[in-house]
Amino acid sequence: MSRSMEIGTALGIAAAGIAWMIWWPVDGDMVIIPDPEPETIEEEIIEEEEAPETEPEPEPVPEPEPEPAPEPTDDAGDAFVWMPAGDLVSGSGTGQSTQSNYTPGMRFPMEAAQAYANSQVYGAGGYLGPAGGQCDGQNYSYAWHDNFCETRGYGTPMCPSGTGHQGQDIRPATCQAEIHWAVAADSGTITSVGTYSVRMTSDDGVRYSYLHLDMDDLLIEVGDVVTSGQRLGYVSNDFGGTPTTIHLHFEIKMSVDTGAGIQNTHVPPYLALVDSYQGLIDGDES
Amino acid sequence: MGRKYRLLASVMLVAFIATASDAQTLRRQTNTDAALTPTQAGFIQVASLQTRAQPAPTSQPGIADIDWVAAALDARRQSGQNLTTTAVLSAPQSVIPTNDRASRITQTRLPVLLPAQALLDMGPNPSVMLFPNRDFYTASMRGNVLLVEVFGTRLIQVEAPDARSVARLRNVDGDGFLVQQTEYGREINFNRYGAAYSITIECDQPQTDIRCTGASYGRNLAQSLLIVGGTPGEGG
Repeated sequence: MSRSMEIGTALGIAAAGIAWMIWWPVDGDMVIIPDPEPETIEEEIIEEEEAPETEPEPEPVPEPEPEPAPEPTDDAGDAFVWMPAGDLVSGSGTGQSTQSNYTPGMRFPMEAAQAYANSQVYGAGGYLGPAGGQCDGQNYSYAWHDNFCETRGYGTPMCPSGTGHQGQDIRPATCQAEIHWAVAADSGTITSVGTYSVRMTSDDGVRYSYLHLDMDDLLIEVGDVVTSGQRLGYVSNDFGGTPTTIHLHFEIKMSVDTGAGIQNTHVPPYLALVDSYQGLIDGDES
Repeated sequence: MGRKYRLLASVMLVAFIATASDAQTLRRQTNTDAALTPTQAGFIQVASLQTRAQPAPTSQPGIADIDWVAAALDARRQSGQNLTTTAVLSAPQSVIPTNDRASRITQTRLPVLLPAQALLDMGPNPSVMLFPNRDFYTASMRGNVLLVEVFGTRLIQVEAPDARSVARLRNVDGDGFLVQQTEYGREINFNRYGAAYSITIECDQPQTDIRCTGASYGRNLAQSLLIVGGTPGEGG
């Protein structure tokens, strides 16, 4: 053995000794001799080595999006479509686009969940409408149209022009009189019955007007206390001898804070009708 | 054929499901568009958004303050006697309600106004009914071809939607009236003693009956209203 090999061997032994002193496990001054490896570990190792033979963990598969609930439909199976509040039939005036539902909780004033709020005058068969009769199919289809501010000479402070129609016209499910029920929009008292009108004041002081019912077959009379949804009479075309179409002219009057006292006035009923009709379709009303 | 292929198959399965899901969504949209015109579909969306965006009216109506001093002065002037706070005033010139419920008039916390019999112009025996409530009342008078309702309330139910509406509602004439034509006749609205009152006139023939074609009938009724009851109470 050469001199250099002897030195290398000595250095190696020294390094091994230093390493032994540094890394050998100790507990205090006592040298802990690890337990011998249990045989089972070998088996486990073997099993781990064999793991690739088992099925790999599958990649997470994203849940498919659930199908949306079917859109509620009216009694005819059609989806309810409505134009925005204040969006009148073209050429019939300027609507009030700033509206709210002034009577939340109101019951839709017709019994059936199939009705068409639109214009009588500017609809087919109306004297300013397109050709066709009042029973034209386009009058008995969606979308609904607001006609609270439709051009008239009636004072309507909540309309942009200051005049309007003061109410909303609603055709029943079909172009037939004396079949479709008008019902109480709220609980209250029947305060008057005219030649072609029924008026009701709710227990909350909201006034509802129903025009053009079949006045010969009303189920109520002045002074009756009615509950929300109670039948009042058939939708018809009574107007004291003045011809009109088969429809319900529906009004809501409330007291409005003007900042200088309160005033009673007609309020736009459109969104109350939309919400209550949607509730009827959804089954929230009976 | 071991782990690699299984991993690749999983990746392909995930990719397929994702693609199929997109296609399903596309088919649903197409079906919707087939059922409605694109314009109609847009309307639904716009309208729905609009509904949610609008403020709801006041859930609990406020109560307007009633000027009972002014009401008492008017009542004294019309009847020649002092207004007591709980008694129904004697007002022989006014129409007289005949229904049982009219006896609840003492519960009403605002001046109850009714028209003078002589000015009603409904013939000899009109039907007159009164439906008093605590914060509002309705009087209904029915003749052969004419219907008149008088309504009063102290409830503050809603806010006006815009300044323009407020200006119109404040734009009363020299008598304090807002006189409006209606589909069935006339309506006169006014504020008196702090309460809001309405006279609704409906004619069988609104296009020809002068009580509905002109404003003078309603205006005279409004000017001749008599205090027949009402009791000061909380909030009033």
